[in-house]
Amino acid sequence: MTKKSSIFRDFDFLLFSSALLLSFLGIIIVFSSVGGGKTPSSIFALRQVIWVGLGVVVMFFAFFTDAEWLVSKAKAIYVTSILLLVVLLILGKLGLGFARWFHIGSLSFQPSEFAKIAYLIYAAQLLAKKVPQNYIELSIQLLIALIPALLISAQPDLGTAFIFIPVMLIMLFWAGLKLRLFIALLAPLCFVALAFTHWWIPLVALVFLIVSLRLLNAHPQQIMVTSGISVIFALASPLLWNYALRDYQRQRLLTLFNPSKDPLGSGYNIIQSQIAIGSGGFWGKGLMNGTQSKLLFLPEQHTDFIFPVLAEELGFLGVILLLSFFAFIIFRGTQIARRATSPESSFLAMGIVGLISIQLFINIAMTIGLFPVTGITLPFISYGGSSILLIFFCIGLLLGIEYRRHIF
Amino acid sequence: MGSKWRYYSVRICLGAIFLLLIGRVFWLQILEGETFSQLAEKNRIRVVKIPAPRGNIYDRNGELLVTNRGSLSILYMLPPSSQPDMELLAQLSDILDLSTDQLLQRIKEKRLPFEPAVLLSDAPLAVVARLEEKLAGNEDILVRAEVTREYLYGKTACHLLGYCGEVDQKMLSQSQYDDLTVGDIVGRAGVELTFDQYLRGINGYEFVAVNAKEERLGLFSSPEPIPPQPGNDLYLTIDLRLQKFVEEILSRIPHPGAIIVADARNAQILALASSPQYNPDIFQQGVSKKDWSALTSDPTYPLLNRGVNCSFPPGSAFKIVTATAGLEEGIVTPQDTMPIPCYGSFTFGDRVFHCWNPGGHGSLNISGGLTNSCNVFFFQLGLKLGLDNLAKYAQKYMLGEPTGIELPGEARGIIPDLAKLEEKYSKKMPPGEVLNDAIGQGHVLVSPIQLLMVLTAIANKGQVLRPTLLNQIYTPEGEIISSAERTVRSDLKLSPITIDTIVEGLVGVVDRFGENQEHLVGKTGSAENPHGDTHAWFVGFAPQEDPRISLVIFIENGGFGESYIKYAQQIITFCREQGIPDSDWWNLELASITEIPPQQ
Repeated sequence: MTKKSSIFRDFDFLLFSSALLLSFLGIIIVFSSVGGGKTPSSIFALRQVIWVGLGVVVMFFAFFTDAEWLVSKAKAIYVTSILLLVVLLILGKLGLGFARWFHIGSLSFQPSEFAKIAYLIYAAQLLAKKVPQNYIELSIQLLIALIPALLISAQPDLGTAFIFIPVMLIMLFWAGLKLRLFIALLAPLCFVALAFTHWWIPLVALVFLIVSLRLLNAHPQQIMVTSGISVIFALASPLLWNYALRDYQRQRLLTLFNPSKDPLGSGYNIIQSQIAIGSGGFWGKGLMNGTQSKLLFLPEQHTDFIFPVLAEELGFLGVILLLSFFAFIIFRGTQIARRATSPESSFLAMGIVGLISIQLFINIAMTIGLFPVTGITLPFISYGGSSILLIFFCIGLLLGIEYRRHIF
Repeated sequence: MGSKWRYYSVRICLGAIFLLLIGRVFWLQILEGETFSQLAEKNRIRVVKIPAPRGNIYDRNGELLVTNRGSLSILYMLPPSSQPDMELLAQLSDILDLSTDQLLQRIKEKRLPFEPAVLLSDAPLAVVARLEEKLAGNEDILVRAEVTREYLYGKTACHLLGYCGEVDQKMLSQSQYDDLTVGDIVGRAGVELTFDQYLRGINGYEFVAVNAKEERLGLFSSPEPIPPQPGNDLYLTIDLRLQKFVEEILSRIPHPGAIIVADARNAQILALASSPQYNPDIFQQGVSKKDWSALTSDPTYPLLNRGVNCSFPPGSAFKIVTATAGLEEGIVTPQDTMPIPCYGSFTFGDRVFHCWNPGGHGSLNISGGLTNSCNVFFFQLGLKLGLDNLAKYAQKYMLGEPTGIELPGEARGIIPDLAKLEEKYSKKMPPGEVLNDAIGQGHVLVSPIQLLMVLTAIANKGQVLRPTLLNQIYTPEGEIISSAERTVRSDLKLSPITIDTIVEGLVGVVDRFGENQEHLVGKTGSAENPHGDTHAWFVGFAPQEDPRISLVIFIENGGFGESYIKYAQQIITFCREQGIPDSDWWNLELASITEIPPQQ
């Protein structure tokens, strides 16, 4: 078969055009979101157009790159990404003004975006070799997720660091991790959260955990270790709360549950963002007409808080449109993962699906008061080069994986 | 790849995420959309109060006394939940000549999170110019035009006019201040307080679109502003020329005191002065602690309006009341003398009561008793009357209760009767109590305005009038909504004989101390008091034949009342020459031809 004709036949145009349309929507919203500021909005929009253009180039680069070849180079990629994070951290500590970005001339580059894809590739490689069968193999999987996560959380960028955990869980689950091992991994995390509720809830959960592990034919030793770790996590979480979190991080978590407690302080963003979304109503106020965003009531409205701008100006209809595109991309991604011809590409595809859905969820959830405020961008929509390039690279990989299914 | 159930589990989890997001957005936008729309409106539309200008205050001749003037305030707009910029404050401290601590204090005092803090009100132009020069383009510092009350003649009539200030919490809880909010300016003393409801207008409102930094924007259309309605103009009965003249007299007397001049026919107050005075300007934008403590710790109490807010023993001036009681009750006739002539003292029981003249006055009838202010005569008259009879007539003159002049905090004074005294001391009063009260000592206390109304009553054949400061109130459109009225509070229906007898005695008082060019009628008083030298009184009216002016002079620790008759003469002369209250004065030269006999 000739390559050209097969591209026309087997290229996933729907996925490609969904990604492109979403980023066009993003350009429009970015243009509108900076309308109230001092820099002309056209400058932001123009830069975003350039990023999207570059993104499409990167996407085709990823498309033509064989995912399996990429996974074979996983170790080098992963080590590079960790080194970049370490260098960034050291430069940051030296007070050279680097915290989350490398500035090279007028360009700035965010190593944490690179670290995400590097992790996905490496995790896919390891899982393809062997799905963890015991705690030791499992802890290696945990370790490769935790290293970049901890380095990023030291920047400090807790939101981005957090993403690694659910993405890891999705990949492990998809790779076929035994359910009792999956529960053993999930349980301690759940207990951290449960520790902040009433004292009896973790106790009930513990009983539930032991019973369900028993029903899954777990070894008594495994049950004991899992429950033990869970209990330790539950007991340690108040310490984590006091010593591991910074003041502003604690504050954000607290205000999530009660934003009206401090409406002008840390609750301000959550309240204003919900007002923006709510006031959009069904039809929205129209592009460029959002009062909340034009009057600067929203923070970071062209990056992290871009969803409220869209919801205010395009209304519930706009939100449905946005989420439909995302749903299409994400569900098509799961199909691609299912149909992939090699475990590497399948796991990588599911990792990409996980990454996009978790970013989408956290970004929107924080603006509607379901998640603490963190610096997570909305894929395709938020202004910013690194995030646009990463997402198009991921889409390119998905397109490539899908396309290669037909070659073989 | 991947088993079927894992594939569907993943898809179900992802689907659940979408449902969760859509559900929450549905709740926000569709179910609660209206609420959030209103919140968004409230967010961007700021209701800005436009203070209504207070009405002007004029004297009886339309001379402007109090008005409003534009002033500039320097404000600091601190964005919500952020800390003041210390570098900026240091700069401001230099420009505004205030310490950074003072500035921080003022920033802390701001009332609402979205309202700017007032750093300096009524800022001098030079300061504003320097600020504009040094901090041009700083968006956090604002200069706002405001309205300031201006007292055109400074201290003149300060006690009468009063001053304004911010409404306080206590006032806000009262129904007549229902339309006000924190920060509004109201009258706090003087006629500014009593006529506040007329003087203050109705605040207007402006609807301004703002952004989160409180910057005003023209981006969105906002509702039409509601313009403020200015307050009504108040025309007082006082005459600025006379007020200044009277204050000038007080300033020459080295004691605190009060002078009130009224139109004898209707009790309209023509001048009302109290010394020492204070400067109402310091109350302009909230009096500073320093100024306030200086005013309140001053031993001469400059904030006191001695003419209205204080009562003192009237001394011999009270003998008019005793004489009225004696004549009206038929206890003495105009010709009667007392059983015991005056030899300088009077023995009652085992106590000796002195007359002011140790040489004695001999035998006097009642008008002679008044003219010479003979204590011995009035001791005996008091004894014949009894304390309760005396109190009855004092009460008929409406002593012991406020006169109803339109000034806040009027003193009631004290008119003792037996029941009151016995309740107070819980013992039977000795029969000698009435001796002291009959000559205006003892327990009697009156305010200068009350005593003035006694003399005005005599000039009005026994009608006790309510003194008034209100001439007219005009709406901004020029419509009269309130006018001066002659109010009779009580009528003693004095017989002509009583009036003639008392007037004869009072003319003699003035005649004794020099030529009575103005036909002045009056009574002196030199009231002993436990706090120092005697208080000096002179209260009277003129001209005798057709009373136009009544006046009272009260000088705290001023010595003998006689010393102040000359000032009373000067005031009457001034009024006649200036045509106060009107030019239709009784013609003295004509009078001498048509032989209304000077009473001597």
